[in-house]
Amino acid sequence: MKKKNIVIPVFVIILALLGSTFMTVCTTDFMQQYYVSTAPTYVDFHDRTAYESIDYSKFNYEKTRRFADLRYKIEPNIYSLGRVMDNYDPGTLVRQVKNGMTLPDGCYKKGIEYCEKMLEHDYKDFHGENPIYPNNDLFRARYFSQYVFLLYLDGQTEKSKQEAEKFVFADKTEYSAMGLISFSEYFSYVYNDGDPNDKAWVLETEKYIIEYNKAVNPERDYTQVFSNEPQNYIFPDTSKTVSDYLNEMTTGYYN
Amino acid sequence: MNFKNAVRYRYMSSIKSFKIFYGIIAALVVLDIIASFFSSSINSTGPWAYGATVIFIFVVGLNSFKPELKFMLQNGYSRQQTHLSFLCYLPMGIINAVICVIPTLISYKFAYATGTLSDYFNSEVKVSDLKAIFTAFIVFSILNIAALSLGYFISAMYYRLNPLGKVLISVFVPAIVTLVSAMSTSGTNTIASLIISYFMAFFCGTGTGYFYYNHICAAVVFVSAICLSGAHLLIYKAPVKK
Repeated sequence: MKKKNIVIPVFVIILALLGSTFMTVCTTDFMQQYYVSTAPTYVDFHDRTAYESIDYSKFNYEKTRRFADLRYKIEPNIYSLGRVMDNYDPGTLVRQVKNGMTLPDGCYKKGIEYCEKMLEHDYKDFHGENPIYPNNDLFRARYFSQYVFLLYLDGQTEKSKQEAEKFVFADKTEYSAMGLISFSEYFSYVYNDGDPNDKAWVLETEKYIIEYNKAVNPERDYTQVFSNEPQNYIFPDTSKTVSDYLNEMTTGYYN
Repeated sequence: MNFKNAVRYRYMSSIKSFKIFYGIIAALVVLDIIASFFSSSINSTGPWAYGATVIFIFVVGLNSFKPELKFMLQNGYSRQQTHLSFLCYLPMGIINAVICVIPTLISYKFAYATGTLSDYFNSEVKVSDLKAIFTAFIVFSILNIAALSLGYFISAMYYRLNPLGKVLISVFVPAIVTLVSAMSTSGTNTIASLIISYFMAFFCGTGTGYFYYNHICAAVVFVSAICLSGAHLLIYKAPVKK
């Protein structure tokens, strides 16, 4: 075979292998997962022993953020945005703070920015004439909860409180059972420092959100919402008001 | 020899099989449209047509090496011209995408008009017709080209292998793929899971089950480049077999 004949195909193969390796390693969540693998986001959060065995010293937040940003540039769509958001997950952040890690400047603001983009995009889809994803309330509940929490972590307590009130009281959205559970799950992080196994707070949170939903739309049959696991929705008779709850949520635990 | 004739030969020799295949597809689409008038169930047209076309074009790729190589060598074309004529044949993937996207879209529209489209497609078609069509066209064109290239490369590889090599490749490659897949789903082997997640990350952009079209396109372009270059290397010393 003539030497010049093999140069082009061999060059193309090498180029394709390098390109595909770069693409796989740097622009997917493959590498992100490597850096985030020590964070609880990717651990079964019902398993407390898994939390406790995590070596937080291995978690490199800055590298994760760089990969997340690169990925966002390449895949600027709704799901990708959601995946990027996962790297600013409040559950992850709270555990890092609790474990004494110093997070890079601006990482909460970056998370807030992503949340705002996500919510803006999501809101249009959810409330517009043509909702793309019919079950979007789950995503929406999640990002709203994260948004409120990140504001709080960033020191914007008042805004966090206002947004939380907007979230619970003014956002005229009917949430499905999964959406409601998502609210309470994320809010329960604030109370219990990321221990969603403590059902009490989860149940109380749900109660307040459900009461709000009932006030917004009393005609809806809420028995349908809770039909999956009725035992989880027996609420304690509490004298707390929703404002009490919000005050505790934004100031209670960390102060 | 005239290179244009070699390219024309490739297109003309495959026209008959394309006519038969798309005749069947068109008949199925018409039947589907008729059925949507009488049925209140969810319409299923769409994805099957894309899948069937990719498989069909992969088979076309498999059949594009041996007979064409023999024919062109007998007619005085060089091996390099034979390979280059296949590269010129790749736009067939784009033509296929056009042919397939149009009837699928017609079928969607009919199903939407008769109210038999599923909720998901219903909202998708309504919201972003043009965007959805454009995305489907681009992704599908690239997938077709990749399927054509892969078929061609496999055919070239088998042509060059001796009988023992053919048997080994035919047995071990499917066996390894099945084994890795089974081990990863059983959850007992972390290396197998890692291989699967790397594979998923390469093709889909994530190991979590979502699909990113930019990633799929980039991945299949790389696969096509490797297949075509591999076939390019294989064809240089390809002997003329009887």
